[in-house]
Amino acid sequence: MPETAAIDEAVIDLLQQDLQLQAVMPDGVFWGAGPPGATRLVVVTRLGQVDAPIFGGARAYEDVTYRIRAVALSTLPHANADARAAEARIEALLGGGTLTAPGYTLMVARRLEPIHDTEPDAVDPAILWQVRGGDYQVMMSP
Amino acid sequence: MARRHGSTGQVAIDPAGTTTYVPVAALNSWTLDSARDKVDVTAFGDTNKQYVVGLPDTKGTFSGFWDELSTPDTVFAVAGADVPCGLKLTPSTITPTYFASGLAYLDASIDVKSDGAVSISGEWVAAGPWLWEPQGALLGRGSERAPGREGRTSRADRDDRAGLLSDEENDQIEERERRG
Repeated sequence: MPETAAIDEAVIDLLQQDLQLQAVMPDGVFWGAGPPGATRLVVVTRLGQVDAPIFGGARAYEDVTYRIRAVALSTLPHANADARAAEARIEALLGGGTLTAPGYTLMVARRLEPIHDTEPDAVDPAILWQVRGGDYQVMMSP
Repeated sequence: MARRHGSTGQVAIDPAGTTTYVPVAALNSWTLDSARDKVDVTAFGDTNKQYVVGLPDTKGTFSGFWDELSTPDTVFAVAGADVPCGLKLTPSTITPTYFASGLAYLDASIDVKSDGAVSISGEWVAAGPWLWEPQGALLGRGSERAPGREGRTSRADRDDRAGLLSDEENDQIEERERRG
């Protein structure tokens, strides 16, 4: 039985390897949190997961929800435009996409809800971040 | 004695109607309903409603997910056949000798929604005697008469058994019943 981590890694790899996304989010794609000093990055977290059991103890499929946020420091030139371009690129890659993970067959990858926020910095509220992206559902059958 | 988790349940089918059962893939539930017909026989003077029972029903449901490699052949083709299949329902494959089985007719349906997995479900009904193994107990060992209703079933009889009436009162009531 394959491990769910393979789906996580597939999502990260898909985003990391895309040159268009790299162009607007040059600091990279990260799981959970980005490194200090990053100002244009994509952060992926897992919001939830449901396993659908079938007889025999196997999983019929795994239903994973990811929150994918393209984050840009608002004081940077074109911060909002870059975040918006990143959102579009994420949707192009994942929405109804061709995600592949070892040991799994893709059932669906789709956006559940878009994200568009301006968030104050956790340390210095005077600093603002442009945040775009979405919550994505990825269902895969082992 | 032990309690079991349903994750190790199983539905197996023999399309030919014999006992060469093959587990059906991607299912996750089954039910077996043995409810008996009940007829209200409450009479004047009864202190609670009373019933007699008929044969137990033998039917149920199953459900799971669509698997294009197996579902068409193992579920829908069987459901579309004119002959009954052999159906074996195992509560837990940890104890594989405990199961219910018999001939059955299947119905099957598929449920496709844009926001969920493609699922299937179906109903089955008995097409012959069903057995619970390993006891070999018939599911359909029914009776049209409830225990205790043979012979005298009058109010006097029940009150007498309850010790509520004297011998003299019993004699008087039975005499009235004989006279109609």
